[in-house]
Amino acid sequence: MDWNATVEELAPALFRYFSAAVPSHQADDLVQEVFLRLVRKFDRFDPAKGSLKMYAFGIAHFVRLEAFHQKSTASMTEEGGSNLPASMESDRRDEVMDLKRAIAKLPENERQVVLLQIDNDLSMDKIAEILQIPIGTVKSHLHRAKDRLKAILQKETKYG
Amino acid sequence: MDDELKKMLKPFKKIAPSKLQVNRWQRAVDREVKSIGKGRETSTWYALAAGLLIGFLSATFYFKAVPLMNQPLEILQANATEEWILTKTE
Repeated sequence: MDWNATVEELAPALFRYFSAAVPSHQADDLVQEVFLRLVRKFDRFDPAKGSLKMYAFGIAHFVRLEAFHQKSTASMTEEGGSNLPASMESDRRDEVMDLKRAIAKLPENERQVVLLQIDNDLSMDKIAEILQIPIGTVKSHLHRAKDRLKAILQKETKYG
Repeated sequence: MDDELKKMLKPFKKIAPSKLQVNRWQRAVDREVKSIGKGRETSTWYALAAGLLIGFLSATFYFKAVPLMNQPLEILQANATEEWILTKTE
């Protein structure tokens, strides 16, 4: 198993997933935690059940929930734009921060579906499998989350 | 994915980990892989030591206790102490 290549391949998607949910410095630690658990639990990975990326996102989901239970939603949104990559333009930073705040306001079941859609590589049935909920529920959560996000962003930001 | 949601989440596409972060995660994974390897090596040695001990105890039992159990009663009684005979004849 070429772990260096695996880290390089999965790191961007996992980093985006956590960056949308928690402060960036915490995202860094959580991505590392996912990789460590992936190594420890690699013997449980069954390629017949899904890709390694899907397995990693399953772990990421639980790691995020653990972090979420340790910290309140409010504290998770407290972050200055300074923790975002320095190369990012300030307009983009504001956009990301507004979006992060909006996602933090979603109910947890809707938030988790939206977060798994950030990279839009995972299909609905894969998301349903990761979250262990029916595909119809994923669709309805997404639909409601989209409407709610739109409303929050229109109310509080420059979006729309 | 829904186009509207895709458009909303687009700003996140700009977020990417730095090369330094990726290197740090790679080193952490490397350390973990090595520590798991060492753990497995230690377990193998423990299993081998436990196997040898069980083998030694089984051999001791077979060569010492089994012949004693197979001895005729007279010989056992001849070797028995006086106290033992007294307890049996009381």
